[in-house]
Amino acid sequence: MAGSMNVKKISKSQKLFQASLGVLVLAVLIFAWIKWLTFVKNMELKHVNNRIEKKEEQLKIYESSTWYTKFLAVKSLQEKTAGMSRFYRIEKISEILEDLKNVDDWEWDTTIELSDFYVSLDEVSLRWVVSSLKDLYYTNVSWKMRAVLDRFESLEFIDKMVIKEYNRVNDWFEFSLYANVIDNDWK
Amino acid sequence: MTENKWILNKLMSDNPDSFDSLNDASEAENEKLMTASRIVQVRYRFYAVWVLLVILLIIFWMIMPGLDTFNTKKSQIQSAKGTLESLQAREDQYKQSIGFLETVQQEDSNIISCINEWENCQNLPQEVMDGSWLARTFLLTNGMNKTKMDVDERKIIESVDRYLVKLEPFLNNSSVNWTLNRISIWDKTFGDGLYTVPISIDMTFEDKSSLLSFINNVEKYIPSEESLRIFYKINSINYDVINSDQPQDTTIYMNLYYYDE
Repeated sequence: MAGSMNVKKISKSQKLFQASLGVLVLAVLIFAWIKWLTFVKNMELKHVNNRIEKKEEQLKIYESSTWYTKFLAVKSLQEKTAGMSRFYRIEKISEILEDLKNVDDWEWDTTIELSDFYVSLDEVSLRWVVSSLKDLYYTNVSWKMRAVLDRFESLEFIDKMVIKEYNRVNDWFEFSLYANVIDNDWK
Repeated sequence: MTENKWILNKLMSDNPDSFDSLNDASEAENEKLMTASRIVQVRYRFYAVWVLLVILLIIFWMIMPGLDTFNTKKSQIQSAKGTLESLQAREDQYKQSIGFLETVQQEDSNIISCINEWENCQNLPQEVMDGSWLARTFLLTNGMNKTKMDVDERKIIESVDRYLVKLEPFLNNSSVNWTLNRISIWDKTFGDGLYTVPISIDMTFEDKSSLLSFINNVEKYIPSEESLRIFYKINSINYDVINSDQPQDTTIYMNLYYYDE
């Protein structure tokens, strides 16, 4: 009985030892596998670094060529100077001016006078004289009368209209209108 | 180890009968076997502990650092590949740019007639059509001749006189409907690979259309004669658009740019 107990204990210890040996072998194998993978990665890194070195040398030659340096300089100039041309800017300002001038070109209308135009691509201003304040706000479709402020508001390119003072000068009212230009497409 | 085997064999070969006979054997031999089996157990456990210690050493001193090294290499490869990709992109960019410039050189006359007169545009490759303003800038930013002057003003004056102030610069005997009053040229500066020369031109324009014609010469066209090619960029014009139907004295401030090797 004692002998069989001893056998069990010995075979248990032996199995523990064998299992630990197995784990040891496994650990060694894992280590060897990691070493192998590291070696492969190292070779890959060397290969990529070699390619980088060659490419850098090649690029140095390429990028020192006169044509290319001129191309880069010209491209940067092109980007710097891009934008709306003066030609279109002047044309656009003329269009805005004409639209503003046409505001007083209204049937039955002889009591409004526009002057002192200032037009830029950011803002417009003009001086305005009317015989009666009613002209500013009164609209009567059947009489073909339309309020002057409505006419300015219908211009698509202006926004944030401001009139700060309305001054009486003899029989007329005089004031200045300021507005922002909002069409950003052509700025 | 042979001793261990012997003890094991001895114990393994035991059966009840043999136990009986063993009981019959002397107590001393039994005791000896028990002691020997304990020794074997302890030995195996001792070996197992050592092996486990070695395993731990392998894990912490070899496998873990090995894994770290492996991961470091992996990330180094990743970043090296990233570098390689960006270098490749630079090379592609270079090849594309040089290809574009070669096409611009070859299609020089077609580009000029397309931009100036909207003709032969269909003969141009799409890449040139898409980059026609870049092509124009490239064709206009020629070098200045090396002279005793800091900037070759001969070329500037010739380009103003024979090209910029012409109503129709592509006709030999084109008229002008404005008066050139003064040309001022300032010192050149260098930046971003190009020389910049500020220049101002005072002119009297009869009306808005003559001003626009001048601006078109500056901003849009390319002179067919290479010696007249200079890239100008208008900085400001003091022109009263509201009184554009009357003759006006106007000053145009511009920069001219050129590339010198």
